[in-house]
Amino acid sequence: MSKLPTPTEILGQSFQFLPQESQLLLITSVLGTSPSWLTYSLLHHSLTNGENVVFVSFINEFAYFREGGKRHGLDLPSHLKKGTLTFIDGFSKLFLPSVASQAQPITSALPPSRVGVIPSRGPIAPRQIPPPQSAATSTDPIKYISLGPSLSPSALKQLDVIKSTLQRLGSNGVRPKLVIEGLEVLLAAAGIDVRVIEDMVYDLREISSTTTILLPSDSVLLQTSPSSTPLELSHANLMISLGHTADAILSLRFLDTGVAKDISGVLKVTRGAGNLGETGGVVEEKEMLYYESDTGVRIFARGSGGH
Amino acid sequence: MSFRKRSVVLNTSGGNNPTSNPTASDAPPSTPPTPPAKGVRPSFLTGVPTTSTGTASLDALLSGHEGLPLGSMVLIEESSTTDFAGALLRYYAAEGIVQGHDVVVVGVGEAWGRELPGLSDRKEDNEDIKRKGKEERMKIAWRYEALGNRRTTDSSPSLQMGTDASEPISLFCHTYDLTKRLTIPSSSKPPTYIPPPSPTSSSPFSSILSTLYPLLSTASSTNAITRVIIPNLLSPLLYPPVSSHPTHLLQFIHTLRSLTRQYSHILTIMISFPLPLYPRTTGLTRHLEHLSDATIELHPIPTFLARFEMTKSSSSSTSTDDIPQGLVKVWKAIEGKKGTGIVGSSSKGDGGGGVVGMEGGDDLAFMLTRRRMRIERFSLPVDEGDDDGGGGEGGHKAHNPSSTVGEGVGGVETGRKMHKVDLEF
Repeated sequence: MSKLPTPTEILGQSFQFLPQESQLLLITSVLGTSPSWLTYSLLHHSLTNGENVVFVSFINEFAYFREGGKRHGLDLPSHLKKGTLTFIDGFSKLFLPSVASQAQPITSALPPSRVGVIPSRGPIAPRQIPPPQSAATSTDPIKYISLGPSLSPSALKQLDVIKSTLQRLGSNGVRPKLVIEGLEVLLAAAGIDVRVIEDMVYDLREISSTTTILLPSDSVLLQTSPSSTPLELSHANLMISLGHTADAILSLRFLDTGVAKDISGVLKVTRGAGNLGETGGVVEEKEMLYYESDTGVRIFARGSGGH
Repeated sequence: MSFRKRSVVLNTSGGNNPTSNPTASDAPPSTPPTPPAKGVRPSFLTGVPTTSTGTASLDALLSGHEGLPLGSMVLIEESSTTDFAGALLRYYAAEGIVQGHDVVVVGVGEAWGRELPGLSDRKEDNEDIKRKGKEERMKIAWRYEALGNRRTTDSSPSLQMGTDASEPISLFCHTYDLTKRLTIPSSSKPPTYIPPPSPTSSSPFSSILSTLYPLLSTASSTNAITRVIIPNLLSPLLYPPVSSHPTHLLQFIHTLRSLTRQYSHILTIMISFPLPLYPRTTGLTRHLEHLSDATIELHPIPTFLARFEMTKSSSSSTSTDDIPQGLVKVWKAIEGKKGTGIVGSSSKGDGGGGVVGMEGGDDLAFMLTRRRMRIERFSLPVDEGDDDGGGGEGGHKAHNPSSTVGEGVGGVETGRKMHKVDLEF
């Protein structure tokens, strides 16, 4: 088991005073810097505090996080069993032909949960106490999103499973946390309009406490020029609009000066334009170095050597 | 920690049996000719099953696994109109055929498969690798020597399962001769070819995928290790223009990625991709890189330049074998430990040093000779004779004081050069 820095270590002591409703945390990374450890750190913090977490990934399957979490002492399957963690797998079956996905009993469990915003509150509200347990026992704890090989407008409804899961978990008054990884796949590979995705993120933020979004921020995806294609423009669009509404931005990048053997990269913490100032919570803006190894992840100030 | 790790490796290496046992129960009636675990060995780092890329020095690049972990997808980019990536892919395909794996070649016809390099018939060639490796290893840190010994001893148990006539199957990775043509051994299946999409189809990749699904599910039921090779993805010679549309290409790649996870016990995929047509400064290429497990760029440099640089300091003795034809850049290294994002291994002392070569951030060069492709550490030759070996290392961005590893290749070369320089003076 290895050690991870806690979110408080990363974001500063006063981070916990940030408004807990509809908070947005943006984690950006570049090719080759994996933000997984930040995810584990946040998951660890939330899950050990008994909060409900909905984890959506469009680029990795659950086994990936199970393995990685295990190395950081995070037993995701047990949280999945308890119902505190809900994993929505938008990766494994996202573009597989519907025939294959229909053959899976798991996806056939989707339609019942896929209901409109308002009606769903009615039937779910009565069973306030058991929802997590019943959810864990009655259905597969991992939900799948499958858009099918050819994207049809109706396929987008599949994404509502995120919303309905959040609503179900939040029906007892405590909003769950939300982590989304790989939205860029919806944008670039599925070809969903950036405005649809932004709307979806806003909708989801409304019904969750902290939303954490992980996005790649390579400069080629962000720098727009007259020759940019819609692919780059929409990614930049999404990134910038999220960056402007985020409460805090954590960005991972390589060391500017080259590769060092005891430094994995640079972690920059930036204050966003979100809900700051109302509750006195302030994210300390800082830039640190981090080093990932077998023994965990260490963050340290530039020049402190990290020994 | 160290104890736990060691036990993991030992368990799995305890004879590839965990992988072969379940198959032994399921598969034997259906696939007697293809022993499932042939050409598969546990990773030196984590014990996950790995298979060889057919290029020993490329295996060594894979974050300490010393092989390509099953269930991963490698993207080989080439920033020139040359076809060095094609050589890597052919080695990968040839290795698959020699090991009796299922080989699926996408987009190119059988002509591509007819040009697979044959096994080197020079008896000493395979020995040569071992011996040469050992010699070099003597100059490397002692812990690498240990690794090398394990490499030779470890590979032997897995071989006994194979009964191939043409070649002693005592190797995880064979040596090939580009001047020869591979004759497919009777024990191996000939490669399967998936034709390129028809120029008129509106969703170009769906035909490829629909051919691939049944192949994979059959292979999965018999636990046949499968290699999917996609040469020159998006090359206009093979793919219709519509296929470069992001939704088509990225959906295809995303699906391939999910297939590698679904069939993580049998499947590896290697793709080559022409950068001149789709430069790395485009979002499309970057998304492709994000979706692959490892991204390696071959950046050929004009030979004369390299030759000039080399001959300047060492006149005649350097054979053409030692002249690099280009640089190798590892943009995304395969994850050393699944789920962690750590690419290196701290047991090697390098940790996750960002863009990882063999050892954090060293410059790498490739050399394609008549007989084999090698990827080696690259350093500019020294101009003046100073202390041995160390001079060549000066140019490295991250000088690694903790070990003498950097001298593995550089040391040998510079050592020879030094000699020459001395004579000239």
